[in-house]
Order: sequence, then structure tokens, then C-alpha cells
Amino acid sequence: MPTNTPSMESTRPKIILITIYLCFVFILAKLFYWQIIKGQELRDKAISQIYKVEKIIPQQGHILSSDEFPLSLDYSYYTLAFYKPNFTKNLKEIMTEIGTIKPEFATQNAKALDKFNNPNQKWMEFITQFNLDQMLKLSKLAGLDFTLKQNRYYPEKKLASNLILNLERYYRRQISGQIGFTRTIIDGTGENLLTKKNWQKSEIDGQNIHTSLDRKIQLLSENVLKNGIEKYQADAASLIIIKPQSGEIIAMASLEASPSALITKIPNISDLFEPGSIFKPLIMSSALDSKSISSDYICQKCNQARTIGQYTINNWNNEFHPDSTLRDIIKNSDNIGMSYIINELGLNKFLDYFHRLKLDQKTGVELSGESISPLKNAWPEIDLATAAFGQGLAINQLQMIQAFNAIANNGQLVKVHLNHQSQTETSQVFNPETMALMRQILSYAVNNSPIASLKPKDMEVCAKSGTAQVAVKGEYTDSNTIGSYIGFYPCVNPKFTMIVTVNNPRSSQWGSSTAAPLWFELAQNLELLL
Amino acid sequence: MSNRIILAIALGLLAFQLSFSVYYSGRIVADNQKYSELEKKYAQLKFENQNLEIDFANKYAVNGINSP
Repeated sequence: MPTNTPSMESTRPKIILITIYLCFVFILAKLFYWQIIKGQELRDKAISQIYKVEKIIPQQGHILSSDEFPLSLDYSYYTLAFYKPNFTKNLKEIMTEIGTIKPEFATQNAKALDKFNNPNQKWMEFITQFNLDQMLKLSKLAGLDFTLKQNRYYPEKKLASNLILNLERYYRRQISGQIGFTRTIIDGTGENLLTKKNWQKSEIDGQNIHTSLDRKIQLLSENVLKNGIEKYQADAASLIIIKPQSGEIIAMASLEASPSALITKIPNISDLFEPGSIFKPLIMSSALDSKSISSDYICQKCNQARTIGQYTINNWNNEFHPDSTLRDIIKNSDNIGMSYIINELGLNKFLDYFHRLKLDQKTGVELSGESISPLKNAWPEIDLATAAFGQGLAINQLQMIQAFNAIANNGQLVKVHLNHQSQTETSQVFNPETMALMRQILSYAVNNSPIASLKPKDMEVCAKSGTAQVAVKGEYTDSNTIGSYIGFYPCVNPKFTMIVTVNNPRSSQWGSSTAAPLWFELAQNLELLL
Repeated sequence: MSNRIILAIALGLLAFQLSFSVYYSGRIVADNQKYSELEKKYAQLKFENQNLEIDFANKYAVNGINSP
């Protein structure tokens, strides 16, 4: 009978012991794997089985016009999704029930339903929109899952559409509010456990944005611009109307013959232009205000063109006006006279007033995409002379009207704004006496120029026309111009300040023949509406 | 005697716990049903309000009638 050798007897307990140790190590490794490595994942999974988290979608704020009319609204609807594994009826029966509530469902989703017939396709979402009642009736069917969605709706269609979309982008945080959450403890079937404490973070609804936009005037403005583009065969036309005392923007429109693909672009603030002769009243105001010239200034060198180096400054019609007074210089839109006035003003004072009129900085209007041009460092004599009639510097339309409005507002510069609730910011740029004189000059210029025929006799307007050549590849051309007209009505305690620009009009290049008629057409209507 | 008192207290507590559970679970279910109904009603009113806003806006829009 075989017997175990002593060496075998001593190794057996060792093997058993090692096996036990290995088992312990294996158990420890397994525990480490599940508790440390996989621990977080399992914890998350367990929590997701215990808790149900649901989003509470807040109500979005709206953009309101000056009469509190909603320029944007929301509408809610439900979309439907099928989940095949949860079906208790066959698809045909389900489709029949949906068809009784939403007959167009099958045709609207023919392609998706075709795809859903594939046995591997377990889930499918459809595009048809359901209202609350329809959702409640259909949600009794197993395997049908509804999702609440919201869409933006614009009651005034395309009216000020780029402005509204831009405002929505600018005020995105205020409008959208904050999403809320509910966390409930659920049982194995997914139903809420009523006896357990649930947690909720309430949603915060978005805020309404109260704008100063007058939708009737906006509509009128857009129609006038549209007709103007056709009538003058222009590439584009823009306008801004503001309340002189508060700086509130009543209307802002920009239409293009071939609309831009950028739907939130606002050319009134994003496109820079050389203001041309509409800049002259600002230079004259600066010269008068700084006492660089007196009110009885007479241009004694206006009888001929002015030569600076290799450049010649001439008038738009090549006519000269000897011994022009300030009134005559504005009435005749005399470039030569203005070049001498800016000479009297000097570069330093010019730059100082340029800064005080905020022409070197953004207006800060509540819109995104405002552009400005940095002011050049070197100012040769010719550049300063051409700046007198608005050439060689680029600003946006809103900067121009904000600065010009100081003349309407007794020398006080008011920050332009769209949000009715924004605080009015003001700064005194010119003294009121100078502005009273400037208003007389502008009124005289309107009444004694061919433009006078465009306005009703009893309408007292302070305005100035301008035609700026557009520099193409570093050279000015006569074929590409921007005609503009800027002014306010009435001259004392004005109701509105308005700027109209017409880009590249082909019927006439002059602002007095294109922008001015549009300005007066609108002004006559505004007189009744404001 | 003391055993009987302890038994009576235990039975009393049991009865109290049962009646407490039955009463409050009933209330919780009833409150939850009420909450669900109110939530449904709130959703309905929200929808109705949105539709009224849209109707109002369509009626008084200056740029023609539109609908979502």
C-alpha cells in the first residue's frame, strides 16, 4: 500500500494556503475593480435608476415695440417619437388612432415611417407638431413619447427682422431665462415614490426687452426705402430716426437691392461710410463754438479753387461763391469755404470736437456688430481740409446721427439707444447759443436751396444734404456714391432727427435728389404720427 | 398585570401606526393627484395664453396677418 512521502505531506498544506491567499487576492482585486475603478460609473447608474431628473423649460422673454406690442412671441408644441419595444399594439392600430387625431401625420412622415418599418429600427422621431390636447389623448398609447418644444414666432413678419434677431442675440441671456430641474425618487417601474422627498430648482422666466422702436414708423420707413431703391435704381438705402431729447431710436432700417445672407447684419452700424457734406454743420459748429470763427465770418478766398500741394479743392458744381457768409457756405455746400473754416479751427480742436462728438468710439447701442474706424495719426494739410467736407474719414450712420443730433438738442450729445429702459446719458458738446445760430443757418440753407420745393411751405426743417464719393481701390469715382440727407424737424424743440442714405443711386448721384426726397416724404408722415 | 399593560401599549402603537400610515398615504396620493391635475391645468392655460397672445398679435399686427 503506497504511502505519502514526507515531502508531499509538507507541500500540500502550502498549496492549499497559497490557493487561499490567491483567492483572497482575487477577491480583493475584484472588489478593487468594482468599487474603485468601476465605482463612479456604478454609482451614477444606481442614482439614475433611483432618481429621475426632468428639465423645466422657462418661458422666453419677448422683444416689445414702443407700444408694448410683441415683436417676437413663442409657441409651444409637442413632437412625437415611437419606441417599438414598448408597443402594446401593432403599428397599424397605432397609426389609425393617430390618424383620427392628426390625419396628415402619415403623409407628413411617410419617409420616416418607411424607415421605422425596418425591424432593426427601434426608435424614430417625427416632425409633426401636436398641441396639448392631442398629446394628452395620444399619450395613453404605450410606446409613444412626446417632447415639449418651443419655437419663436414673429407677428410682424419681416418687419425690422434683422434688428429683432440682433437684439435677441444681444440680450440672449436676459431673454432665455434659466432652465429649472426637478429630481424625483422613482421605484423600479419608473413611477415617483410619493413618500420620498423630491427636489426642485424652479425655472426663471426670461425678461421682456422694451424697445423704443415704433412699428408703424418702422413699416413706413421700410416701405419708403424699398420704393426709393427702385425709384433711384440704388444698391441699398438706410435710415435712422431718433427722438432728439432722449436719443431713443424710433426706426432703423436698411434695405438692399440684393439682400445680404447675413440676417442679423445691420448696415446702419456695421458699414462705414464717408459722410461727405452732411459733416459740414459739425465742423462749422465746432469752429463757432471754439470761437475760431465769428458768426459774421466771410470767406474772402472763396472766389477760386484752393490748391494744397498737388491737390485742388473745388466745389461740387465747379462754381465759386466770393465773399460767402456762413449761411451761404452751408446753402451752397461750399467745399472751399469749409476747407478755410477747418483751417481756422486747427487740427487739435478738430480732433477734440471729433472725440467729444464720440465719432472715434462706438455708440454702444444695444446691438452686436457695430464697426468704427480708427482715426489716423498723421494729418497732412490736405487731409484736414478734406475732413471739413466729410472726406477721408469713415463713420457709421448711427455715429453720424448721434453727433448731428447735438445741434438739434442745444449742443447736448445724447447717447442713442434702443432699449427703452436704458438710462439717458448726456454730455454738453456745444453751447446752446452756437446751436441756435447753427439752426438758423441750416434752416436758411433748406429754405433757399432747390430742396425747398420738396417740403411743405409751413414746415420748418433744419437739414443738410451730402454726396460722398466711395473710394474704390484707393481712388474716388463719380460712378459710386452715397447720397445722404440728415436733419431734424421742427428746428426748435424737434420731434425727430432723421438720416437717410442711398447707396450708389444710378438715376442721380446727388443726395439732394435721392436721399432728400425720401427724407421729406417720411418727415411729412412723421409729423402726423409723432 | 404589567405584561398586559405593555401588550396594550404595543397594540395601541401598532393601531396608531397603521391608522397614521393609511391616513397619510391616502393624503399623499390625493395631494399628488391634485398636483398632477393642477400641473395639467397650468400647462393648458400656458398653451391657451400663448394662443391668445398669437391671436392678439395677428389681429393688431401692422404688417399683415401671419400664423405660426
